[in-house]
Amino acid sequence: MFDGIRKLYLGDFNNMSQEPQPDGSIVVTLTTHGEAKVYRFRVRDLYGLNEEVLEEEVIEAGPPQFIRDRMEEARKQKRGKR
Amino acid sequence: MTQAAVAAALAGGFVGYLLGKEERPPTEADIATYLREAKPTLIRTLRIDTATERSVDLYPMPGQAIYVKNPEVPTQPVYIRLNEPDAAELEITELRKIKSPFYRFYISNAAGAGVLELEIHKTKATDLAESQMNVNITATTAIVDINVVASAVMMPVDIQGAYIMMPVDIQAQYMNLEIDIVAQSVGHIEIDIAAQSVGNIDINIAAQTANLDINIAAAAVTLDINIASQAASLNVNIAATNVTLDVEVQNASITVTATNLSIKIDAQAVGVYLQPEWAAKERKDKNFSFMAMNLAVGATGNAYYTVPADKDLYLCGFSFEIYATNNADKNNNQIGAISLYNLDTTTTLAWLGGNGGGGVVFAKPILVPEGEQLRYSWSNRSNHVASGYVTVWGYEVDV
Repeated sequence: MFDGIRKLYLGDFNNMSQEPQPDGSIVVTLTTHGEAKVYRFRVRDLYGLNEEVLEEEVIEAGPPQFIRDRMEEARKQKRGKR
Repeated sequence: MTQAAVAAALAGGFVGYLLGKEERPPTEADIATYLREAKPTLIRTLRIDTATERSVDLYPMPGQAIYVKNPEVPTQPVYIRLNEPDAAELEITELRKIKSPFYRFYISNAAGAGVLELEIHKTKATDLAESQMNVNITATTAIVDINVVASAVMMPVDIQGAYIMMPVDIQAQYMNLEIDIVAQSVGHIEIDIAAQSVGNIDINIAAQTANLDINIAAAAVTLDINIASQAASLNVNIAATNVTLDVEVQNASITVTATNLSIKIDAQAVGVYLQPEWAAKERKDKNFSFMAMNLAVGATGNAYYTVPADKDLYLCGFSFEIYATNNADKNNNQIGAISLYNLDTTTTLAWLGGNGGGGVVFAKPILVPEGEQLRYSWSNRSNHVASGYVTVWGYEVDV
């Protein structure tokens, strides 16, 4: 079982979006608060007898590195002022 | 100062007092100096093999008391005379103990079998069978180990010190323990009670800072607070800049009859969360979205979610947007509708329609139990092709 479909059946997520595709499949996207990963998979016959995950990808999420660097710099300056 | 010099200097003092020959009691400083420098042996064990016959044999050992550790072992009685060879002869295997000052003693016994063990005590402070002991300590550093095994114990303890560590291990059939603590700071007070019944446990704390942790780990816990009185006052007053008061209760009931239940919160830093809010705070919330593109007139798009086992899903609201796919229709009415439907119970849970979109927050969360399947739908009720989104939100709890 792929990571994304497993999280779906466990309810191990906070946000789920579904986008129907022209071929009848559905792209499901799952995210969880505080977890900088996006689980996206395309599934045919979701919750059906012949359910099949056609594609899956895990995308690293969160702010880009240069934003994180600025945040870290701001935190250091704040600590220095204390 | 050498050991011999110290012993000589104090011979008329501490040692003499121990032997009962000195009138002036030694000061505590005298005792501490003597013990530190001379390192005397205050208790000695003497083994007498009764296989050898003795007739008023001299033992030049001074002391305050003699205890017989194994009087049942010798096959023949053993006799003792204190101090002088013509003193009264006592059968020590029968007496088992002698408490009297002596500077020597004599032993007599017929040949038999068995080794008799005697404890010769040079001090008069200890008694194996019964004891009354007053301990007064004045010192920079004091380490006192107290092990008491007796049928009845009375031990008032008064301790005053800048730094106190006092582990106490008590095993008794009945115990009354009163502890009064007055200190600037109290680090850790741990009380473990294993008893068939516990009478009163009164805890009165007056301190600038106090941590009171009550941790109960047991297969079954019954914590009853029963108040039966004509006038009961149960006050919990918390005065602090920031307060975190977490109370997690499952299956609780509060019954208030013929009175008022007032909860007054007069602080900006105190919040009360309802369960949907708490779920979001604890990151247990669920948010679903569904995007339907280019739906024909009258068509419906569906999305599904099956609630996992061991969880219940509570829905708190839903909303939608609808817009014309083609530019020529964008100035027309954009009529759409959404619905929530339980496929297992074939029950429509909620309907909503509107022009351009809409949304509603449920005054009461809608439950979708574990294992049941939710369908959330979006329908194009316009007279042209339209696209749109649906969002549904709520939270899940473990069941």
